Amino acid sequence: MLAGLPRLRRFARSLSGNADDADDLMQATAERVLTSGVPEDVDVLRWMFKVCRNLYIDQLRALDVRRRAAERPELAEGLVLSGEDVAIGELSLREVDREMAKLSEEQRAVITLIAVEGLTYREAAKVLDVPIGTIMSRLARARAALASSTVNADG
Amino acid sequence: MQMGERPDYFFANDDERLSALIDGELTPAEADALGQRLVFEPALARRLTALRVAGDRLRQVYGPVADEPLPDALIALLGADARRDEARREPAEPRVVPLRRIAALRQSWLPTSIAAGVALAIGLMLGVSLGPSGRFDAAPLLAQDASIGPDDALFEVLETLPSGQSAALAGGVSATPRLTFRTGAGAYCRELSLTSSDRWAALVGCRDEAAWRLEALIQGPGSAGPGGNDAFLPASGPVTALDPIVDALMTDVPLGAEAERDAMAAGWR
Repeated sequence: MLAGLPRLRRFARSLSGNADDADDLMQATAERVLTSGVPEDVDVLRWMFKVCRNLYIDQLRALDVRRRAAERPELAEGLVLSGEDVAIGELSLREVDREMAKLSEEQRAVITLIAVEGLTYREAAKVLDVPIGTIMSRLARARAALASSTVNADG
Repeated sequence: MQMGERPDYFFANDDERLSALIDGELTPAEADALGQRLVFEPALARRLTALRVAGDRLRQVYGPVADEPLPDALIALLGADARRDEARREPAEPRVVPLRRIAALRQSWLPTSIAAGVALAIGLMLGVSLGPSGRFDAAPLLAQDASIGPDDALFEVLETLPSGQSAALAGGVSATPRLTFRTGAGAYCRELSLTSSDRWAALVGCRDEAAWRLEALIQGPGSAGPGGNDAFLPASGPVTALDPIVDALMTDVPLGAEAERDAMAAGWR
């Protein structure tokens, strides 16, 4: 389980859009998996993705995370960062967080599982409990939305 | 790869097809059909690049998140063993799949495309007279196996002309090498654009023992503008359209002028 945590954290980050929420989400997922366990014949990492995503949806329902994120000053423009290397990495991370925030939660989940975590369509369909066709259409829309943000940002 | 594992799917649009291509989730038949279109539709090839870049950027930016040390609270939750494991942890696995998949696709469809008549297309473009068969008689430019050898008009250009310089060929055709790069296997490849009064074309050729093997060719109609060669290439025309091919072949950055001179002097070996 520990081996999967870094990737779980990355998945949580792309869903939640910031480091603090991602760590809370990762911690909650780890606790849940520790207490409830992993079904037999299920890959631990895939199961953690699934639990993480369900917890995130619960959170979304409980409080309006999107509105809360919009009110966070550090997600807005005008970051003050020290150290050029840090600034460049940090800024592109924030930028991508912002682009991702424009996507629906479903699109974020699917594009992260496939483009970042390298799951196949079939694996992603299992994690998200949807047919493969749904994966394909959501993924194309997510890529298209990100492509249009990137063009605007770069150019 | 999981080709064939996917159930039949009715694609709603090209974004879905391109997206599945990027992830290596097209069936061989679908990949072949899309590959053929990519050679001849610059807009589709540009779209492929845009969609691929979107995913690459996400992976590039989020990738390092998995390498950050885990928070203490979580380590504590998992116990002391976890701390030891954490210290031993391997870096998160890198993922370079899309390029490899596109490269695999290239191998699967390009030979077919070439055989199906791109050789003819370049012959027509350059006004080369065709024999009765109308197919592979464009000998002055392309040999039958779609490679450019010492007897072909373009061979000399690829062998000796530095990138950025133009040479005039028969029939009012101008040839300009655009860039030179190396493949993972170490072979030299060059991208070349060709223009005449009413056509343009671009190709990628890779040097083997004695000839430049044609990897990709794209061409279309266009009229000469007042500003010389570049003026009548579509703004993001053939060169951009070949980007996915160049990306798939190139492992590093293109050669600079000096490295290109050296490679040329060494006979591209």
